Amino acid sequence: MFATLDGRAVETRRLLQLLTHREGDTLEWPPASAWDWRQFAETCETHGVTSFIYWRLQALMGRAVPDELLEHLHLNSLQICARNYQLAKQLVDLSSLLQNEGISSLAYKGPALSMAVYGGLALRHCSDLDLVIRKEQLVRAADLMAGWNFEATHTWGRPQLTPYMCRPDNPRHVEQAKEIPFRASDSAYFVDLHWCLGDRFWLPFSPDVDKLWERSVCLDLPTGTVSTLCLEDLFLALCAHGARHRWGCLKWLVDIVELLHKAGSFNWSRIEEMVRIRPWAGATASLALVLARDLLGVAAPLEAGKILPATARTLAVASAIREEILTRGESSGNENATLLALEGRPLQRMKYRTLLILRYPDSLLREIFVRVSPQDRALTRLPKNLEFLYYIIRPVRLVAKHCTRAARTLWSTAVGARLARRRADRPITDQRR
Amino acid sequence: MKPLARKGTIFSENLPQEVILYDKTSNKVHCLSKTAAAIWESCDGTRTVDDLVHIIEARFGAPSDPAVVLQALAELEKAELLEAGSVTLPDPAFASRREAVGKIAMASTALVATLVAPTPVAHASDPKRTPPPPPHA
Repeated sequence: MFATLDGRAVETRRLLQLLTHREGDTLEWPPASAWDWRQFAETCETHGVTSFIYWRLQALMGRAVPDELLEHLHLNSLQICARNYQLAKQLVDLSSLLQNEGISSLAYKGPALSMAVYGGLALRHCSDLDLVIRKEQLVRAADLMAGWNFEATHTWGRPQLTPYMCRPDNPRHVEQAKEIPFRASDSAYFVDLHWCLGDRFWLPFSPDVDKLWERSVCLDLPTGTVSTLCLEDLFLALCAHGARHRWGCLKWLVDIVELLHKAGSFNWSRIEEMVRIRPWAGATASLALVLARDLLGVAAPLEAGKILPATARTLAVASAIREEILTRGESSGNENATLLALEGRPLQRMKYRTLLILRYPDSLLREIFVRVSPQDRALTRLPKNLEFLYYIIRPVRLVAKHCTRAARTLWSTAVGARLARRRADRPITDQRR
Repeated sequence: MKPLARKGTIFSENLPQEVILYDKTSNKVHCLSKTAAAIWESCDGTRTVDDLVHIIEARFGAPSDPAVVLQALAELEKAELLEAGSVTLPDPAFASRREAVGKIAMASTALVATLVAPTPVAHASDPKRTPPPPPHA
């Protein structure tokens, strides 16, 4: 484990340095006696880039890379590789089973992504399987999965309190959620059945799932063939997914970079059309491109710069995420912080916040009364023996902050509505001016 | 002896320093060193051990020990990556070489490793498995 947050940040910066390393660049490694390589290995595992880093480090053999680190990463990489192939087999088998029952599915992320983007299954850590199915086939698919001894493990809402609420035959749940995770009978892996690529609030940020089917492609895996998203849909879906998790895992950003290496194969007019219909999908894609540039040193393709320009809002969010990763070694992972900062719909934001508060009141209480953030400490510097006062300052600061924000939002919405009414009521001759 | 590689049901993935082979028949994954991979690729049923030694020397630009080639063939055979029977023909020279290989293999590292997937606990901490947090204050 890391002794300090600073330790995690240092190792993450080292990891980023390695990810951005180019042939001929100098790479500084601390002497083996002054460095615990296990922290670096743990950072690689946390960010899901163990395999990718190991194969990259091999090119640096002969420099000051401890043999124990290479051996550790090598062993882990081989285990990851074995598991990836195992998952790929399960994916093909499951897709075939569903197909035989008349249920079409699209393989999403996991082994399909690894094969499509990396050309193999060894370089990317796959943790589970994701399948997209049509919403109208959800109930049947869920029943079939149960029949095949998969256990539904709902993570959305409070299934233990309201089991009926989170069932696939509950239209309200289907409208609000996006997936049902299933655990295999031997607990070896999870399968997430998606009918949307984002829950209700994230929907505008994701590609239109109904259109995925008409653009789907066949993909050959070592273990068989599956249907999957086309490159353009995959790009936008990955950008939305990464934004949703506030790019907390560098593996996702590496996926984007590797996908951009295939940008020559992209149908950019298709992407342009998609973001015209879903502008917020363009915002998350723009965010991904900025982070790929800022953290991994990869410039966006020329076409991407024209179709997915970075706005001031996007740059601000990217800057915040970048600072979190560089100073803390990880992003806050707060999905709604990214969502709310990328869009300009204040009422939707308030509604979303309120819904989360009502759903997770205990988490909220912990967040307010148990945690002290850098913003609390920045408000006033207290001596060590008075630091307990931060636990009082924090709730007061939060109440003031959110009340002010809510008042501002309501005022601007009311003013905006009044202006719109005045404009509509103005005589036509005036409007033409 | 003219070994023949099984390739029809094998998927190969080239990495910087190793080659991953996936056997679709047995659902096993093998990791080969570059030397072992070059030997496996060259086993077309017409080449002898000496031919393979020359191929390795030409490929890697350094003299190759026949014992290494024999070790690789032994490990490839054990991993069922060669056609059954293609390395079992009696070879008088092979018997004494096999003895030499046995001694060498005890001291050297494996050229072919069959991979085993880890136990299913690593993904329990997947951040996706936890509910989203409330608004970050």
